[in-house]
Amino acid sequence: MTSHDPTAMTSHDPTAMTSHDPTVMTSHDPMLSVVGVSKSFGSVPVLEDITFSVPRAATLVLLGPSGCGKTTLLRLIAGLERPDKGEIWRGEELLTGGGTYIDVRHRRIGMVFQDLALFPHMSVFKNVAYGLRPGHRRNREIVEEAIALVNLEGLEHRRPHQLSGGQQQRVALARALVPRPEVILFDEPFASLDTSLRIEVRSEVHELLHTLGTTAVFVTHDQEEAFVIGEEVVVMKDRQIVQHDRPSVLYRQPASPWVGLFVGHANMLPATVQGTTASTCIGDIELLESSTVSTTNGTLGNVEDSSDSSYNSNSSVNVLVRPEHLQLFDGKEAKVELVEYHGHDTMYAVKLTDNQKMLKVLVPGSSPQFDHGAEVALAYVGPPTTAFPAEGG
Amino acid sequence: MPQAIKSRPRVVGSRMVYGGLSVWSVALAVVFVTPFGYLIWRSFDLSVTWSDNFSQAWGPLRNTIFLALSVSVAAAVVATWLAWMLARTDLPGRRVWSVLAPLPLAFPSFVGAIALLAGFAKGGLIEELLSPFGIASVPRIDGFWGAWAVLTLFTYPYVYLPVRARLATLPHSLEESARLLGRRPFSVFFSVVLPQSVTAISAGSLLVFLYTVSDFGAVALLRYNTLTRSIFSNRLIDQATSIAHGLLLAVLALVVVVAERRLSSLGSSTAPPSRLRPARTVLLGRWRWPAMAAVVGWIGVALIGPLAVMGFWVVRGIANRGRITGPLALSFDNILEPARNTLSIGLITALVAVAAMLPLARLTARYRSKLGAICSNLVVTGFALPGLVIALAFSFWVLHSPLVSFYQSLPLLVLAYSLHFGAQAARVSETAVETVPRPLEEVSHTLGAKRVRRFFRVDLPLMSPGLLAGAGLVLLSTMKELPITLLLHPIGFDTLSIRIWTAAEELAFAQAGLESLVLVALSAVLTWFLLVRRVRFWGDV
Repeated sequence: MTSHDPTAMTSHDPTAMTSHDPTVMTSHDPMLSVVGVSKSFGSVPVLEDITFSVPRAATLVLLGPSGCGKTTLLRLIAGLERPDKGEIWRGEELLTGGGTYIDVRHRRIGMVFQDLALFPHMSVFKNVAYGLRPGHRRNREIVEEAIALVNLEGLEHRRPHQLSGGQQQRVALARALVPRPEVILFDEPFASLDTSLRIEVRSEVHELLHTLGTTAVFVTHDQEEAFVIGEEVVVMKDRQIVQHDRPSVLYRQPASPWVGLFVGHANMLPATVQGTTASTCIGDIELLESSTVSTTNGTLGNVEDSSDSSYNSNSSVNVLVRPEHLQLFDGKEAKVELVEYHGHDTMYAVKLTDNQKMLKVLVPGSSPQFDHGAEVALAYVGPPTTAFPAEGG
Repeated sequence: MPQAIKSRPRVVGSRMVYGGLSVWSVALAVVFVTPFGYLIWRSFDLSVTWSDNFSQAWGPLRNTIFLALSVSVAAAVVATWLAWMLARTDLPGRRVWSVLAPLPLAFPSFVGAIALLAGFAKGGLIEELLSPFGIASVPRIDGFWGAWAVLTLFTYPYVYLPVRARLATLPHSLEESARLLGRRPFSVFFSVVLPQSVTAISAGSLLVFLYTVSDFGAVALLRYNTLTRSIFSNRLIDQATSIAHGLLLAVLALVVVVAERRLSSLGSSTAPPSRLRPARTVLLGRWRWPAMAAVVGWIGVALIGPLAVMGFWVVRGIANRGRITGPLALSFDNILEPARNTLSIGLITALVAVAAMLPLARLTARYRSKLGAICSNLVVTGFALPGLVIALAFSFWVLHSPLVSFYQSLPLLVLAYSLHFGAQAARVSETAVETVPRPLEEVSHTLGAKRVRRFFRVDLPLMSPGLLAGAGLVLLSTMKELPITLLLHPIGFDTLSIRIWTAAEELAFAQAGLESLVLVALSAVLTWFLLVRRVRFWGDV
């Protein structure tokens, strides 16, 4: 799935162009670069030819289903594992590759583990101070500052098990920040928290990283978390990177149907293309002129290849239709099969009368307008969207 | 039917069982408390007074404490270091060393002492090895240093095994965090690994301490005057002194057990065990080969050394067949019978101990009964009581009661063994009972299975792995036991340990060596199945 794929669509979409903005471009001043990294455990490959970079002061999220190799990638960056091939750079310094291996403790990389790894036998203060060289005069000040930064004043003498989940989270963050790492890694750090607390702590961490201007790499399997935290998102599947983009681009222009479905609810409507218009069973839908797929080349929004500018006429495609881009009216086109009321909106599953195809429709509003069994009509009300060549087409 | 709903389901129909279990447990606890109680009562009876008897105890008491502390500390240091090396570093051949490291547990301490004496004796392996270098005579190593060396060498696995298990379940993220925060491997060890292993180390050291204070064979052979030695030597000529010293020893053991429990309950801030992969290997770099030399040296001295010494004497004995006395006296004729006796008495004890403990385990684990918990604690103290004290109490008690005909009978021997080692079965049995899921029991109940049928068809098969492990531990301990066997074995019923002891007292090293090799081989097989394989499940060996 690269932009060099002849069937892929490329062109000059304005949204794609914004990702060419030099302030967002990653290749100029990367804080962290991973180049051609592969890793196997015994005979089992876990990562294949991974290349990407993280701009200074940015937050990048590695998103993928469990078992895709994202945690191993994080551990390679930290130096806890050694890659079989490839290089890892922190700024201008080569950390791993070509016979070089900088030891974990010299990498200036911090990490917050999934289980937080707070030392159970130490107080909050000692945990936070652990990364400092003992005996320095300013140590106390630095630790107190860090504890204040994460709003834990007064809890310095508690042990980790006497803290709430959110407080433990903040201790782990403060501890990782104190030695002033250049890059800080997060391995699904919010996984152990329940939903409401997770959202709260996530916002705090997000804000703090933003304020401090720390370069961060998060690992998660949660699409929502990736979008909230990540300025850039690297989607991984089966040991490889399948897309590297900003969240909004990822959502509108996924590199493949799999990515499209992984990052949100989606309908795939079969259609035929004329120019940039797709004719579907619910009417015509405008298509984006390009697909801004960037995969393994490590930079955002690679749309250099602009010659192949449009779809083959009359080709069969599947159009990506997000449920919130459909609207329901009274009509005879389809029948409501399922109503899922969420409070702020309602998700309907409707079955088209023509071809019996099921579609998801998300309607905002505080009460459902249609009941189960109601007859409805559909209309596409969203912006131009993406299409994928139909299987075998 | 509201009444039926109100009543607690566990009581329905099981009152009889509950009552039966309770009665049995209380009876068991009474039996376990008897020896200690008897000693106290006897001490009043013989009007043991401080000035007469306790004052003579100062020397032996000091020696006992000093020896036990030195052995515990040395074993804790070596075992923790060894466990860490084998669990965390890239030491060459660590899989092989991991398998061998716990095996010195197969040596009873008195066999270890015999190996030391036989090795350094005239005509022993050490002299033979050193003679090419012009060293004609080697010093006799005994007293404190001999006892200290022997007990450390053969008890360190009591610390090694729990520490190794702890390291296997210590979340790897702790050590990795410490490394990411800039610490070197040794700093990580002292600031994270050690504090997180303290509970395992102290539990293991407690076992070493208890083993040392109650050890009789090694200190007697190496002539280091501890309480056990004075109890044994005074038991016939001066009962009052013997009893006073026995009481003192029992109190010492109990105080240490209570203190350790208090201490370990204070330091509760340990990470819960993790099933995740253990931390990655620490690269030793230029320390690789020196470290391996140290590990090989230790295992060599603790395992290969004693075997080589014994083997050497046996070979010399075979080469000089026909001597009736002396170090080279060797007879293969009477080796089968004591081996059979050792195994059979061990198996009987194991069966009796597990069968006796199972009702109590059911009471505490299934019914969560308070009475059960009290009884269980009393039973566990039986483990803390030194074997010699138990043997002493039983022999005095039986000799002064109408049951005198039971003195030195098999039932009494089994009873004393069970009392001493029952605690081992008790703990394992409790775990075994807990492995039977309660819903499963309820399901079979609703399916209409009768109680007895349910026990044999559902509970017993599920518990059997745990119960077998418990029985195995008791069997292993019984085979290696010396003081109880020495005092209470029926005349003519010789076990391997009795034979080894007798041969050693006659300085018949070839004979003692042969019998020791048989005993060690038997117990090594058991040690392997019971302990080493279990650790392999816990971690990456």
